Amino acid sequence: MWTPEEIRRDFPILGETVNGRNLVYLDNAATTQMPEPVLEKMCAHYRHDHANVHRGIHTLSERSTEEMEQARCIIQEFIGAEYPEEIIFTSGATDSINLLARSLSFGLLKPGDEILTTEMEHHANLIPWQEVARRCKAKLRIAPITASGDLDYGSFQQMLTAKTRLVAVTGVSNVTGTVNDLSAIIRQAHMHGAWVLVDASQMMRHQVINVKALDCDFLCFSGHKMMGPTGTGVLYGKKALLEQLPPDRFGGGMVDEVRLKRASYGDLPYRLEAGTPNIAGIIGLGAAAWYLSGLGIEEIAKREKLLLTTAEAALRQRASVTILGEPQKRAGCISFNVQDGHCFDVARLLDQLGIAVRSGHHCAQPLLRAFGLDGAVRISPAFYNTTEEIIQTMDALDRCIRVFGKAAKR
Amino acid sequence: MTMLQENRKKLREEFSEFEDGFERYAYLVEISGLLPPMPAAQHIPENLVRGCQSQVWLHAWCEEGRFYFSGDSDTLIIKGVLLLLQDLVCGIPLEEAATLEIDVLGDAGLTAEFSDTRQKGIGAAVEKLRDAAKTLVRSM
Repeated sequence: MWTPEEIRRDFPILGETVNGRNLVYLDNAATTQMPEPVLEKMCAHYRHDHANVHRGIHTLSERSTEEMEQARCIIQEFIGAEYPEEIIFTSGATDSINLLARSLSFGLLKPGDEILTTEMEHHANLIPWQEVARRCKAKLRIAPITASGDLDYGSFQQMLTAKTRLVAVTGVSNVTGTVNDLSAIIRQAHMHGAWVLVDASQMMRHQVINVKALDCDFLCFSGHKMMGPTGTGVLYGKKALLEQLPPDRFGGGMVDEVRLKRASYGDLPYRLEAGTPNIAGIIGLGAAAWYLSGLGIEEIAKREKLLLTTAEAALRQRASVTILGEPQKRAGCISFNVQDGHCFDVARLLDQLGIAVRSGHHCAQPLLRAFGLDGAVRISPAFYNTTEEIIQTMDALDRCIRVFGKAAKR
Repeated sequence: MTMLQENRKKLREEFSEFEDGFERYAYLVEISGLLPPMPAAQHIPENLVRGCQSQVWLHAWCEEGRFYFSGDSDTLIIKGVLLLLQDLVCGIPLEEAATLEIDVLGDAGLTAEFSDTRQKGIGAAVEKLRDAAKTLVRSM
């Protein structure tokens, strides 16, 4: 079994000093740090194997192809997909959702069809559906949240109809940390014949994902929230569904035969991966999934839950702190505001004490608006954080609270 | 020494006493409440400063040949910076405001603590004041 102290040695960036203080990195819901094995894997690729994939017959191209396809198999196993070709590499969850949305807009969504999403989505799982609904004359329906920050399952169920073609829902909110009951959502959606896209961006470290058991039709995530590099992501889809998807972009690498005025397209996964992929990034993403599997997702989830519970309990003890939502189950992050202080000021003051947290609307303006807010401070620990760091953050927060109190009295 | 130069000297002296960035920021928060309230009617899109991450409003005018402005922001730190700017600039001759070139963050020893983006944001605020002064000069 590993300790946080041991694990921290894998992450060189955690040794940084910021504004003269040891870095306390608590912005993992935005981007996680990369461990040595991921950095080494990408470096080794660039140093020894770098070439374009799937085209050349020379050794480096073959090595690169092999490494990239190995990463696909690692990801396939990591999320429990049936076939490697169900893993489409993208530049991130946003890209994955846009790929699916554009592709569905090429004739699969008809006027009058309905897309059902929720009030707690990241903009990346909302705006593409707004656009597609507009273009296809489909109807976008939004299931509200309750005062506690949970999905209003009653309303959600009512909004599911025979017209619902797709349900696009997050697994975990990137603001409140609300964990959605995906099994129930997927079961109900399927009863109405709708497909389900799960935005798993905030889920990857917090629960073992098995797309077969979950029975979701599509699932997406970003590499940089699971110890991988930025610019990497995945769109998973059931093979039979992905085969129905028209390619959303065109070019090299995705074709079967090209004539001057027409072309036929290749097989999955390449027909949805036009152009030269982010080869080193994908190899790094594979290494990240391998690394997380080695530590054990269940153990990681347990450690992160403990850190989050510690933070939540400490925040609750502070009278001037208001926490966003009280969901039945929370994972990954917690957001709050401090009396008399703007979230930007809190984050800026904490940064001066070496503590990295996120402030603002977290790309979820409708959710913030549902709470009557335009911003909040978010703490999102990862397994490499320690309880001491949470305590240190709370001490620093107390200093900020004193500053705001003093200002309010003036 | 002009009034502006004197004001800048005072600001540099005031901020040289702080030990670290946290103290400087905390001070900006503390003085933010001293920024005179900006009338609601002045919170209009034309008064918004483009290029600021947080919302910043500025409204300038001239009284007896001297330059004045009111300002507001949704964040306390920026309100504190606006108060520093008022202390520096309000009451200087309008012609001087029309050629305003000041580095308020540098004077307050905050350059290292503000990111490039934020420095550009404050720079945009100074630029808006300068442009407002130029317009006022032309309208005279």
